[in-house]
Amino acid sequence: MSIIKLTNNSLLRGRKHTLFITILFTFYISSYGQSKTLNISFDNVLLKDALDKIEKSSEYSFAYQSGILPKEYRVSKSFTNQPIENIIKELLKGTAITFQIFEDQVIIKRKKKLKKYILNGYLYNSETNDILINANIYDKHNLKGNITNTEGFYSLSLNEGIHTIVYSYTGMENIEKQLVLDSDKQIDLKLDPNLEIEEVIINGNSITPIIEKNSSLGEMKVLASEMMEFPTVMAEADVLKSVQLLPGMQSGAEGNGALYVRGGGPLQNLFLLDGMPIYNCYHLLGLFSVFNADIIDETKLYKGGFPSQYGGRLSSVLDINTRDGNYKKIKGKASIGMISSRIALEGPIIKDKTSFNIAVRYGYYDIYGEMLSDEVEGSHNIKDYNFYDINLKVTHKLSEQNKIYASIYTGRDKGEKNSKSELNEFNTYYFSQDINGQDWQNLLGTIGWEAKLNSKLYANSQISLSNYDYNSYLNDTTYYESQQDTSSTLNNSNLSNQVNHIQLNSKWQYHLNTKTKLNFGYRLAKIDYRSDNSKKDHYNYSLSEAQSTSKDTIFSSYSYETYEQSGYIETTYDIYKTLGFTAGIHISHFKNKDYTNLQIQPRLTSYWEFSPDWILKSAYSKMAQHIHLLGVSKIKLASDLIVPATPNAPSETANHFSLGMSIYKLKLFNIHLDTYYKTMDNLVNFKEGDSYFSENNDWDNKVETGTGDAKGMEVLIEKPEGRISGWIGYSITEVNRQFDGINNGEKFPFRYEHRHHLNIVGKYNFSQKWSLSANWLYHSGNKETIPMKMYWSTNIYYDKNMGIQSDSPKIMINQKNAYKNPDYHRLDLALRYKRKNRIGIGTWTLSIYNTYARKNVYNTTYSEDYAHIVGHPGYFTRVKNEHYYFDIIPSISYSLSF
Amino acid sequence: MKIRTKHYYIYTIVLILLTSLHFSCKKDEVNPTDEYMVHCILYEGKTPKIGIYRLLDVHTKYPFNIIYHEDVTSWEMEIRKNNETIYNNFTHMVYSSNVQSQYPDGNKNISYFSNDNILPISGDTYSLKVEIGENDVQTPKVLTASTSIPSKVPFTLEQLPTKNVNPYTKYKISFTDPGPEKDFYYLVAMAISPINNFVNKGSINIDRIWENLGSRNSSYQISHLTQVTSKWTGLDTNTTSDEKNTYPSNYYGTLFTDESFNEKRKEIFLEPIQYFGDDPYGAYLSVELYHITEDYYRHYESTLRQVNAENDIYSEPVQVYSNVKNGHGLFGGASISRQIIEIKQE
Repeated sequence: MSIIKLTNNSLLRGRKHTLFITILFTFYISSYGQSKTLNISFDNVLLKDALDKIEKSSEYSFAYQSGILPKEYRVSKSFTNQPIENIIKELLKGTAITFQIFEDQVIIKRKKKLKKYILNGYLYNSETNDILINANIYDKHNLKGNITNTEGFYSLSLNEGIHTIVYSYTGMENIEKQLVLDSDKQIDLKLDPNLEIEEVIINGNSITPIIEKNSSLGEMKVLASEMMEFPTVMAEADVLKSVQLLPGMQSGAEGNGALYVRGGGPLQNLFLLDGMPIYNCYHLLGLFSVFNADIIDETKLYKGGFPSQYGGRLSSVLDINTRDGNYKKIKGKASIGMISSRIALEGPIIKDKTSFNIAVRYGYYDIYGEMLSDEVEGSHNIKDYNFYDINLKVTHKLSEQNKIYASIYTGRDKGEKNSKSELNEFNTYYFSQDINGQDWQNLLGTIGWEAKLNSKLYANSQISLSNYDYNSYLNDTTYYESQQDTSSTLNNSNLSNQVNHIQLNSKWQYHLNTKTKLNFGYRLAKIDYRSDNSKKDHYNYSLSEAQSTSKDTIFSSYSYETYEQSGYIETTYDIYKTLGFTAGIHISHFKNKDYTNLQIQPRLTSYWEFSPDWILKSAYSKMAQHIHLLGVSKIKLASDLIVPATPNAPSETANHFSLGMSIYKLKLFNIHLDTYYKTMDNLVNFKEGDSYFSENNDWDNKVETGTGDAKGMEVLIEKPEGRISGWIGYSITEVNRQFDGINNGEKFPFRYEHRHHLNIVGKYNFSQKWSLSANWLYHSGNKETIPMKMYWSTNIYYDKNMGIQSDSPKIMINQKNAYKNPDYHRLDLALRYKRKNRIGIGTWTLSIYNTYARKNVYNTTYSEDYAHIVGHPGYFTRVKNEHYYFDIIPSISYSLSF
Repeated sequence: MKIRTKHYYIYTIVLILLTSLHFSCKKDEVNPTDEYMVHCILYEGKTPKIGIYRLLDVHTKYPFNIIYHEDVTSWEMEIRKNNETIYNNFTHMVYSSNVQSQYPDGNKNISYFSNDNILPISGDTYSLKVEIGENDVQTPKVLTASTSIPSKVPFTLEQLPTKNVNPYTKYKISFTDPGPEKDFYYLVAMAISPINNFVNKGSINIDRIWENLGSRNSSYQISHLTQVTSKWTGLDTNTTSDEKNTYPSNYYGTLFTDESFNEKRKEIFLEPIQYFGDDPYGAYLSVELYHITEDYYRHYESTLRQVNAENDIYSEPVQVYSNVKNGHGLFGGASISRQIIEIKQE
């Protein structure tokens, strides 16, 4: 007996191959029907060994191409008096291999036409029974994969045959499962937590890829567990700070937590916490976000190629999900730091059925205030600044595939600055007091239901509310008393801004067939906006003569009830194994009194894996938002007003084109390159000279609408594995704005355009206990509008100089945002020591922010310095004042997981 | 993974893309270069005064940023009327400031240029061309601008009977907006009180008063009556449509447009609420209605907003409007109608 094994280089090529098959086929025709029977059994043997056994037990010999047999596929079957062809047929069932018999020769070969089958199922945490969101599922050999959705469900369309499927999730043991796919199959699995999960830093030399192979263009992912690894200010892990280390996601200025994505503004980002939009997601004047890392599972973010389910903002989506509590046992984490302390607790209410997860954080400003530079005006006078936030999630499983949950978030910031002065001399008493305070709070609540209705249909429905309330006040009092007279002034100003949002949201997913998936959904929201912005001035010029004046000024006051509804439908279609697209449409309708706006927003993404691990991606998205942020362009403030679209300030829209390429496993690196071009319409900006404190009740008469555009390229080089892991992100960007009434109608650069932006983020594990992480950030300076030239104002003309002081120097603002601040750069380090103790695992973190104490400018102002008087009286110099927040800030924190 | 040859093509394409994007992006930083300012308003029937100045760098370092004024030393200028008549012979004039203390180097003289042959006429169009070729400027700069001269808008001024005790009385200004096109106005009112008895209404030279404004005048005290009218409503216009608008105004006057009274009769009631009391030698009210070009209006409207926004951190920065191409400033046109009445003291 002999076995003919054909290699790639042998006869099975070209004409020789054809000739050989023809000859064999002739033999096959002549010998058909000469099958013989056999008694044989196999007990967990490799397919190759099974064929060998048949060969030895019969007169048949086998011929097949090397590598055609699945290496690790084992069979266990027994046959009694069965024809040889039946035995082989049964052994090869589902393997995508077929055979032909020519006399005593059996030719094994691949099937030419393979059927497609769906492999789907749910993934759970075996310990908590919690679903696993965004777990990876992929075929080990062809790397084709997918991730679980927000219900923990996955679905893969695969050719019939034998597949080794890898199920992986950060912090969990991987499962490799070999299966014969000869029909649609559902496989639900429970992944075991990695026993060393708590020590993921100790042993984990890898990080999850930020951009996964099956991600759409512009989609990125940051895991909370890995977010903890990187240094941030005051040793506080923070979602937004971590996100801002990725290319295309930029911060505004030092101390400003706002996110600027691909030329968009802060309110052009949709922040979703368990599906509910959050309107002001900053603590401590914007230094930290409200998202507590202890309860967050992961953050998915989109800066382009937006899935159709998202709408309502132009520039990015940050979809943040909190974790379900542990269904089996109580677990917790407590930490104490220089700026906040936190405690998180999770566990079962009814074992394996109902769980809770609660996280509480309390922040204190005093130490932080001391760390600030003296340049930050009044920062040391801010007393009693504190914040808190509470997250609570309760989940109840109705069945394995059906659960309901309730998620609540509440948080508040409150601070007050009080400065007082008193003078009592020469029979004169003078008293002055300024009280300046602000507070803001968010309250979010969601009740949701997630279910798999059948093997193809999934549903996730929510009813939720989001309430945002901002208030600031300024009370100035002066009192003057002398022997002759008494006078006093009292000025009170208040600014409030509220947004109340309640919505019903339902999302559905239907697996139409092996190649096609359908997503659709609907959202209905009622959003109310209110603001009062007024000032009261009261003067008693002379109490003795009882002369007094009072003036009430309303800067702006509004109340809107708006309704927004949107629907979407989207299909994902795989044309070939390496080529596919997702096409969808998002339609939104907005109503604000008599103003209505309908926006039809097509979305399209595609991928083409033109070479293994080389993927070309493209995307187009139209986005719309029916909301504006009225901000101060000179500095980012928490008091910026949130207003709805109106006839004078219609809904904003954007068209976003992007083209990118991802290269995986290039040596140790994954390389991603994105280019994009974005246009924006109906952007709003206060008119030149106006602000929300200028006297005009109607805010929309104080704004201009205009356009914007952004273009750029982003490069991300990831090194997800190895002793040193991390990434380098670089972006080059040009962002412009254009308004008819601003800058003489000419284009001007966006204030937060960072032309060059570079991040280098790395982590190094010294040992089981010690690790060091670092990030170095560099970007071009922010733009400012400050006087660039000056001229001499005279009174030689008949025009009376229109109020410009005669015979004096006068500044000239040549162009908006023409001045560039010095470039920004800083190095942050974090050293961690982790050790088990009797209670759990304790972690010491020593963090150094701005290690080499770079004075990074956050704002530049122009002034005339009368102090430098030289020569003639009244002679002064003109100076630029550069303001900065931080020097070097070392900090330490301790956390204990139990 | 082995890098395949074809991938080098992709590297090359990426490199080209990156490089081309880098160069396609506009320059990241604007470096201030030499810039010039022209200031000239052609008033109907008045010889113009034309100022040409080099703008000074704001941010030079101490102690070198102490220059307040820099004249242009080498220039050629022409003004054309209706694109036909050419005026290119200008006299160098010097204006002496009265504010001595502002000049660290003792130089209180400011240059301007004039040509007595130019007497602007309503309805004519004038264009300006200035070529500056100073020694330290590598490429000569050519500044151009043009303007028309609006027609005079006559008005009546009358003191209204009132029960109020003088001087808190009321005056009515009436005029008709001349045409369907958008018109722009500047209204100035002031009280003039002679400080001796040698002055009578007929001898008051308002132009002379304006020219010496800011200096100590030996003949008059001047009160700018509209200084209190920060809002149009402060002038008590008696028109509800105007009450929602805020018009830019300053110590001297108020800018406004005919948006609410196009081609209609307009009445403005002037009610001064501040006055300096008894005048032993009588007092006169001077009201001037400037019919101005849009460029004039926009230039000063933006100037006023810039002054207000300059030191307010909340306010959007304001860029002053200019109609001078390749430079800054204003080349505007205006016609002035004037009425002077004696303030009757009861």
